[in-house]
Amino acid sequence: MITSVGKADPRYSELENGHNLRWPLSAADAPDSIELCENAEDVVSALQRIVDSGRRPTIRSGGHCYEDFVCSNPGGALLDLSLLTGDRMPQDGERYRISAGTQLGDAYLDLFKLHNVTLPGGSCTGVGAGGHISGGGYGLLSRLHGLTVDWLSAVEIVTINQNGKAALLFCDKNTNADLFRACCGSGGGSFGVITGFLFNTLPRPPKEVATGGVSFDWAGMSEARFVDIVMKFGEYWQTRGKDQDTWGLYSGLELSHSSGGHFGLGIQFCNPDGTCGDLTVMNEYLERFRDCHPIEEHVAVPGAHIAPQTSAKQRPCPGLRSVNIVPWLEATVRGGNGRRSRAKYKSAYMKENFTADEAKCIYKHLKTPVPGVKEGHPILAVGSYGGAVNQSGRGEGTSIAQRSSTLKLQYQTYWNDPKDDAGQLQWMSDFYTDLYSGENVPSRFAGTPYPGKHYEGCYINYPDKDMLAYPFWPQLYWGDGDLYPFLQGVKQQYDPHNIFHHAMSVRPKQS
Amino acid sequence: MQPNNLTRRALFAQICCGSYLLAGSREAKFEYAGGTDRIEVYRRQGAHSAKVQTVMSANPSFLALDQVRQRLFAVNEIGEFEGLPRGSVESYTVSPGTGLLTLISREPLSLSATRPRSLAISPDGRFMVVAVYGGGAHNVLPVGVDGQIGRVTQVLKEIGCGPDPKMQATAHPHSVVFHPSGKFVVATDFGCDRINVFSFRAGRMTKIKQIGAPAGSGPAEVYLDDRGLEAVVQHRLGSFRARYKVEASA
Repeated sequence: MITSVGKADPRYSELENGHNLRWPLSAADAPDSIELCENAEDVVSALQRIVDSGRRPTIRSGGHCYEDFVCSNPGGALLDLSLLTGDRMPQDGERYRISAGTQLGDAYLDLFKLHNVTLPGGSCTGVGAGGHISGGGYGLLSRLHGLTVDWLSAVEIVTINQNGKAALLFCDKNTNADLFRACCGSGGGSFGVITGFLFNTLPRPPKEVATGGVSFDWAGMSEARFVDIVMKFGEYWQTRGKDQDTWGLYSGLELSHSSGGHFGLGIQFCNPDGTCGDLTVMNEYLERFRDCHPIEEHVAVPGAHIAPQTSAKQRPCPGLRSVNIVPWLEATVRGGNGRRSRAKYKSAYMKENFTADEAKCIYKHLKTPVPGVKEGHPILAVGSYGGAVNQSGRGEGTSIAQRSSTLKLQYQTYWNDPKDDAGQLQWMSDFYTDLYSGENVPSRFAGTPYPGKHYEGCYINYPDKDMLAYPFWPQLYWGDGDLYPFLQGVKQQYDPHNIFHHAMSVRPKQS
Repeated sequence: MQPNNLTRRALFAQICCGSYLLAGSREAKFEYAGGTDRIEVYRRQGAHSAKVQTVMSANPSFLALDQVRQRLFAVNEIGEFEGLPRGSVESYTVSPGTGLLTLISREPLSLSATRPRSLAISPDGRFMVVAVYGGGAHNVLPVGVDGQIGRVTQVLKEIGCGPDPKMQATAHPHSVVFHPSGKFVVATDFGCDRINVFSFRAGRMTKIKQIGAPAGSGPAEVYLDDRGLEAVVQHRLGSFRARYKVEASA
């Protein structure tokens, strides 16, 4: 059944926002209605109604889109898929099916309990499968098992054909193969409404993981020591981190703004066989930071967005009281959403370690007060990447261009007061522009991590509308090879009327 | 290029002349011509015209003169504005004595409303309807008493196609015209071989009728007769002119 929530409905004010409370930008940008669907048939009917009335549909599964691609839809209809959670198996019963509205935490729980498999997806358990998997689906197990789309076998998607008719299409590598490839990582909202993802096989989750980390005090943090920490981190992933025995190690360098007092180095580790009996790889990694004066407090545990509680099942790692071994499921589903707030994000992929100049630039901006801002939590989260993601042949048949990076950077800042918008946005823009205007970027691409020897562009699931200022923005997200032209071809074939569009969707060839 | 072929037809005074489109003032004293990157103002002197002003503008491919309120409106037939896939529209004041233009406002169209082809101003001057050729839609925008164009208040997407796979792969709204009563809008869709009739109330368009044009004919420019009963449509692909009964009873 479709539940239509108009502006006069008391539920509207709660449902009009996603996680980033900056959107919709103003009341005039809000959709006329929110259409809550419960199954794929509802999606077909609702979409047909929307298209017949000449309105624009936008699509939401979990509501975590960073930009205004969903909630800003003036006069349009927001198709909400959060009730599409019935993960029934197809009739052959041999595949795993995840509905678009399923939250990642629920998917992890169900797949574990029913089948002892998992998705190598993200750590925010409240994120919806629809958007997450459409953009690639990366998480703490990606170095070990690749991206979620590397495992994707088929997709169910509602499209609008040339005659304006909505229909549910099945696509895999044999049927509607181009559309299937486009659904494997190019990002949501360009081709249709994905209602379900199918997987023929999925990886076994680890039995247990060592999780925890260390932190560093901003007090007394010299530029030289900061540069040393950042470069030690990046160097590992460019060298030793490429060895297959380390692929079970994920680590995030959570470079919080100096106003936060400290920044963290978090880890989640298991051996490739999913156990923690032998901690040699992890200990060797942490040993690299010993002379950087880490402290075992204020630890940013990967995936634990809510401070982890001590668990009866956890056991300490020898010699490190801030790292514990816990059952994998417990470590995985304790992640939350974080609270809803105003936020801004940016991203970058790196193929190589930071240069000293880059590390100094980061130091400078993390020490720069965010001007005119009363509150906020700016952070540059640098995550380990690569491993299975970069394994030869993995990317074939997907729409992920970035298969050579060893670091994935996410710039984040959160605040509540709209008066702080301008200062927050400016601070991050200045930081980003400065960092990507150095010797590693050709001058014509200055201000961006344009794909090349050092960088590999940006992540479509951490979209940043500031990049629209550059005419080459599609190449940042989809690479400068033949992927974007391919996606434009799919657009022309499967969404000839450009019904599905937002600021950073795949654009028609001639627009 | 020297514009010629002036017309004195009110409001829908548009003649294509190479890459130029013209709007003639009531007295045909001044002429406005849109080029790829400019609007040029000409003063007519006898049989000749002399250029008196050049205003830079992004592909103002269609101009509409509101002679009552002395304003000129332009569509910017472009595919991208401020980094987003959309066109824009502009309003200018027309100086009564000199005919010179001063920009009042430039307003973006809705997301994906690329390459707008034409516009029409409601008889009361309060609204603008834009035919969005590239994005396949109509946009409605309010116009203030000061000529300031407000943000888009309605987007109506058109869906369909015609037999010409190259020119008619999707809907291409081409021209729009207000019924003299202000209560209806008649619009052509080049891509779908359609004449659309909309009711227009309180600034909102609602489609009330679709009239089929001959398949592959590409209906384009549209004019209404003085009583607003018949639409005269130029068909660009078929190269003919035809009349359609609008039957929009005011």
